[in-house]
Amino acid sequence: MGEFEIFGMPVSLGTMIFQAVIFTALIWILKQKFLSKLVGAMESRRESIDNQLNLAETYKHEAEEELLKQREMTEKATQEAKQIIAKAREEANIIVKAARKEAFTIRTEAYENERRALKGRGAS
Amino acid sequence: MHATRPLVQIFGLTFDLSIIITSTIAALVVLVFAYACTRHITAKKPGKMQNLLEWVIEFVQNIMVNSMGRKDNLFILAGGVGLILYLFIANIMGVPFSFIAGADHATWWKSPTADAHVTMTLAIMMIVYTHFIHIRLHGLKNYFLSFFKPFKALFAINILEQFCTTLTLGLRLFGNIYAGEVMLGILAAAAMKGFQSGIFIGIGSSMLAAIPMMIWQVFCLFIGAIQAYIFVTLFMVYIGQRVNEATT
Repeated sequence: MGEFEIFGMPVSLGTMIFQAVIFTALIWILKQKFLSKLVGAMESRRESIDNQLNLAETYKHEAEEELLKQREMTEKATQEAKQIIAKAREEANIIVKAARKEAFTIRTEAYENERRALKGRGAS
Repeated sequence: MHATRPLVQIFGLTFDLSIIITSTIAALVVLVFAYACTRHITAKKPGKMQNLLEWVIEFVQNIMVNSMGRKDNLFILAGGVGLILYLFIANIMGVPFSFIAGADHATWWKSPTADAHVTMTLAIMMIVYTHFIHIRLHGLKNYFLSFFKPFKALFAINILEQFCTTLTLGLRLFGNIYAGEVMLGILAAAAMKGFQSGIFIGIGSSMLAAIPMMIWQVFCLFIGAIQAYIFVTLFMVYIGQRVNEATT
């Protein structure tokens, strides 16, 4: 049973027309409803990933520059701190020496005073 | 065991009911799959389902790039994605079971692509679309002249080539899927014949048929995927030939 025959094989035209219609409808719905949105989302994701990578690259460069600057500053600060410490140590030495001298004088004075007092008591 | 087709005639046209049912179900399955994949659509980190459909899209885009050098045509992309999903589902529909009912052994459930009507319709649609795209891109004059390239003497061969590509495109798919179903039918019939001669012979023949049946079903799944891929690739190649016609 069929509309016509090709080499003795019956061909049912209705089946073919139905198949063509349903496949066209499938592709049309797929394109309109689902794929256009999904492909758009894929494109925008690709673009945003690209942007993010570029942004990350710039940030990385900036961070490297900042790092160099920071390192220089740290070195300078370390050197300054060393100088200050050396200076402070010198000053401290001077102060300690002066203090020691002063203490020695005070001790000698006190000793002298004590002796003089003892002598005075022994005389009376 | 001789299976027939459940045919009906409406408005003077013959319709094969089993093909109408199965191809509609295949199309609906594709639509449901696409709906499930694009329900929570996001441009950020995609979910599992969205990832699956995006993988299919990128797969088809790769085929497009390989065969025609570009992938920005949404209609051809949609055609390719629709074809590959529809054909894969249609090819594996007849693998798990077949449904034969009625006094005249009408086959109600099988792969729609195991019927030459379906595959030839798709092939004719694809080839007509390639002709249409040639006319739209390069104009009607170039289209008629393209049949006389590279020599005028090859006109007949060029005409023949178009019929041959249509015929091979359709019959390759039909033959592969139909052969797979025939083999499954024979294995199932062997088990059924055994039960007719006695319950123990039936169990024995079923056990004998079970392992080749499973192996063949896995092979049918593989063939179904490969044939869907081949059909889409050839569709893209034929379009690519038309698109890049003017440059050669």
